[in-house]
Amino acid sequence: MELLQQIINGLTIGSTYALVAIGFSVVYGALGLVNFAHGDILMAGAFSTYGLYTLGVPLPLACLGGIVVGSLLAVAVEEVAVRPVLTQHLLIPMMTTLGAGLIIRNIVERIWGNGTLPFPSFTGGGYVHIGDLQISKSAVVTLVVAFVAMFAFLAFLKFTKAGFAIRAVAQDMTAARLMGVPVNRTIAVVYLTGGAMGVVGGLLYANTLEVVYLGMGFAVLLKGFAAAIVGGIGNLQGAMIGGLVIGVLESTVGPATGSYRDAVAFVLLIAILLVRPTGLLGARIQERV
Amino acid sequence: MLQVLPKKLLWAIGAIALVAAVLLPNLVEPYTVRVAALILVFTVFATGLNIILGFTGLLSFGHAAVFGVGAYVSARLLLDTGMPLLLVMVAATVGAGVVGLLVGLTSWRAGGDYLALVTLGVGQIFYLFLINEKDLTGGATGLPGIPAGNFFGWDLAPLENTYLFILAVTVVVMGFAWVLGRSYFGRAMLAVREDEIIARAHGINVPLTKVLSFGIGSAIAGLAGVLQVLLLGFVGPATFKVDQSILVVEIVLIGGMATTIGPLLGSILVIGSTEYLRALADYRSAVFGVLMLVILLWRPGGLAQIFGLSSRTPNAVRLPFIGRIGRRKGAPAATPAADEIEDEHEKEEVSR
Repeated sequence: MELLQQIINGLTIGSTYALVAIGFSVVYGALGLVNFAHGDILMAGAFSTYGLYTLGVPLPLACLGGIVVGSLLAVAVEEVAVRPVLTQHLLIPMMTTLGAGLIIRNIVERIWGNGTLPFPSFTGGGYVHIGDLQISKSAVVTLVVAFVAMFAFLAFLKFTKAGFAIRAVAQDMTAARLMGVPVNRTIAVVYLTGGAMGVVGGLLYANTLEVVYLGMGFAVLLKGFAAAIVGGIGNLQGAMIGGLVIGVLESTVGPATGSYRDAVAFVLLIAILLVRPTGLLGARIQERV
Repeated sequence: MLQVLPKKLLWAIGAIALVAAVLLPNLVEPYTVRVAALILVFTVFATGLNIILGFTGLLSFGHAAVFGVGAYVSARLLLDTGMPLLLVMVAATVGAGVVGLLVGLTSWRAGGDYLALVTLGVGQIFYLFLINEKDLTGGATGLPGIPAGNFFGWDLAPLENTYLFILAVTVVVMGFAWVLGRSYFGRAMLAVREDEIIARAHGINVPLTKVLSFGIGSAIAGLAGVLQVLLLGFVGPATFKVDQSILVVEIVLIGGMATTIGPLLGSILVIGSTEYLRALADYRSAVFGVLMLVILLWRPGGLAQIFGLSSRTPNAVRLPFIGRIGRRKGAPAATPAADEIEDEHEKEEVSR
């Protein structure tokens, strides 16, 4: 029972990692670019939600506002830092997005300071009991929202016209352009949806810890990176599974490693890269996104 | 920009700057000397990263970790043993170099962007190690009161001696980087950065070049760690966080990648502005973020390019030992003619 309890805790935190990893992976899958501003975008989204909430906006609306802010920031990053250097060495967009992230973080710091602020839980306190298991209500909300968001996103990619365009761009940008796919607009949509998924993950993370802080973007992003790589970078189902695996490992193996709990994800990341450089679901890397 | 300046004038300016740097402790108050020494420490640190990032085109986000290895190894040795400083420096440099080689080995299997994430992870693990292994590293409080030691009878306790020693090491390291950049190995690194497949087709051992550049760059960063210990007399985990790794990436980018002078220019701007423009402190990361964007979008050569100090295709110099490293077995013997042809090809590649 103890183990099952830990696994459920792990799934809860892991589902937030998975969302962040999907937001990161969709950009990588479509363009082959690492978005280092992803963490700062989701942090800014979570802080915007906090800001709206303290102004008296109801929480669901505040969350929506945070997601909108994050999506717009992601598009801004794409327009300013990625579009002009899209065709250059992959190192260059990596570093421009890093620079954009620094700017976003600085702006958030100027507005809300660098302290740890209390984030309102979506459900208040309270637990749900199933047999001996004790699951906090906010964990239930996190799991439900995370899985709905993930499957909604996969459905978006599979069934909508915009999702079809994203898959076409991911497969071959030039061919997509020749077939009349508006490539630039599609890339903006990639960043927009990626940012939105990141912010949803960030909000659920903040809801789980009941705080927002300046460094949270980076902390979650590192786990998101690890999740994306463990699952096979660019592969969305892989990112989902990777996030859940890391979450479960952290809460089951983590306690035994004592204060090295945060290292679990990175050790796993390095091990996976050395043994299976394309990740757990790496065989499918050809049809990413 | 300033490319109109004749080359001789540039050399003269360089010589004057060096003389001024040597005389600095007699000219200004100790605070400025301390800042100058810190700038030089970061110049060495950034020179190490420049070899990895600027030349080979591998992004290391864990460079503060090898910097930290050098610093902690030297701190422990200076505290616990009476080893001569030269040996301490060798031990710290080699230690950091070995760690760098091990991290670099992952580049064998993991490509460019993956490697950035691996190094990020290594940096995080190293930071956790520093915080948790209290017996070895002093935990969050670090190791205070490290004796300065002396270098062949030269007492490094006074600040001006420490400064001059750091200056001497910086000049040596920059000289090494200059030579390395013009050696066969330096050309090989540039070729790997531009296109791995073409580099391989030209007989360059791509994985070996990557791993070696990682090792050399890390060893230099470890040396910078020793210099920081000598300057501060203290090590603590705060200076080896990811923030520091990002700071040094900024220095290399802003100064100018794949140039010898770039890390110095970048350090002067980034560290100098941090120390002197306190008013800027609140907006520092935004300012450097904007600067990074501006430089990458319009002036990829950084300050070195803006000042016209970087030549796109520097003349190669032939070196007895370094010239051999990275050359594939069975490649044509190093007859001058064959080498020149090869160099021509590489030049084309790099300028492409």
